[in-house]
Amino acid sequence: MRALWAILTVCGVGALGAQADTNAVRDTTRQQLEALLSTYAPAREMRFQRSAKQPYDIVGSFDKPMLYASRLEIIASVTSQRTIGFRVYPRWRGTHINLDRVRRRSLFMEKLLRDADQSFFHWALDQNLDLFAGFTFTLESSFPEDAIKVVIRSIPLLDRPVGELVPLIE
Amino acid sequence: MPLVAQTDPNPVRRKTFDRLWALVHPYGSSLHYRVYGMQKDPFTIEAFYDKDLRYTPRFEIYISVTRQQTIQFRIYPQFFGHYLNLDSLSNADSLMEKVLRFSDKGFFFWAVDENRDVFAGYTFTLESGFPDDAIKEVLKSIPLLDSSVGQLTAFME
Repeated sequence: MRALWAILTVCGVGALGAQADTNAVRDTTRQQLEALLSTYAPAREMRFQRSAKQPYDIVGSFDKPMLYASRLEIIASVTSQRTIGFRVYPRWRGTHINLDRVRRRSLFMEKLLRDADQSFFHWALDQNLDLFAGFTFTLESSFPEDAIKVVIRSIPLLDRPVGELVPLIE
Repeated sequence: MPLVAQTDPNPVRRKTFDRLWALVHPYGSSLHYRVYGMQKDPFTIEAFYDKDLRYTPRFEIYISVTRQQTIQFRIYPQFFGHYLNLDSLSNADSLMEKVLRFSDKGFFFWAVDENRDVFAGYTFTLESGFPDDAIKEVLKSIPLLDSSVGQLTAFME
């Protein structure tokens, strides 16, 4: 019995240890990401800050004048699955683009899926059917600083595909 | 032979592809993929996976080194010898909405190609070096797409 207890205790400690390791890795990744977002000039223009609700989300926005989108809202998430996900929500006429408010719904969705074939970002719909552009990094090959810079520089370029969606929304 | 013909016009792309092949061929084979080069496209690897899948008979996978120095994975689920094509679906709108929702939750994004065939994708940028371990992770994750494909079968009948 004592042996069984010892085994269970060791297993429990092992599991807690693994969880602690995961959290430590996640914390380190968040620190690296925050350091990059606060020092890289194009990211500084987006004024990133840690989310009050989700401690592993860093939120920012790009609201310099654009042709179509009134603002691009950005969420960079460090996940427990060792990924960093960027989500960019375009705001059009002051609100997110929601599938339920799109007039030509079928063409709209097909265009999103065709764009995902050819673009750097892919399009997706969240649980509220709000549209966002996404890009996901896996972290098995270390922290991808230069690649993240490319994603940040590419965010303002999303205004153009948003413009192509406008005729399908109205 | 003119000098220009002896010079590889894409040395960086070629080097990246060679490194990709050196990784994917042995590692993919160890995971039960069948891995081939493509004669018509020297920068693309073709692979097939059909081990222990429940919903799709097999996945066809294309892994390409692009001119923009990215590595693109395209994974096509196959049914009865065909890809999942928007024109052949009973409810294309519902399927499109479903896969756009998958792109929110999953590791892979979903897209439609120029023939309106549906595929799952993943793109690596190479600015931070060649992502050996991350590519292995994608190869390990591809069979897990079968459960997503299972949720799409309702739109095919």
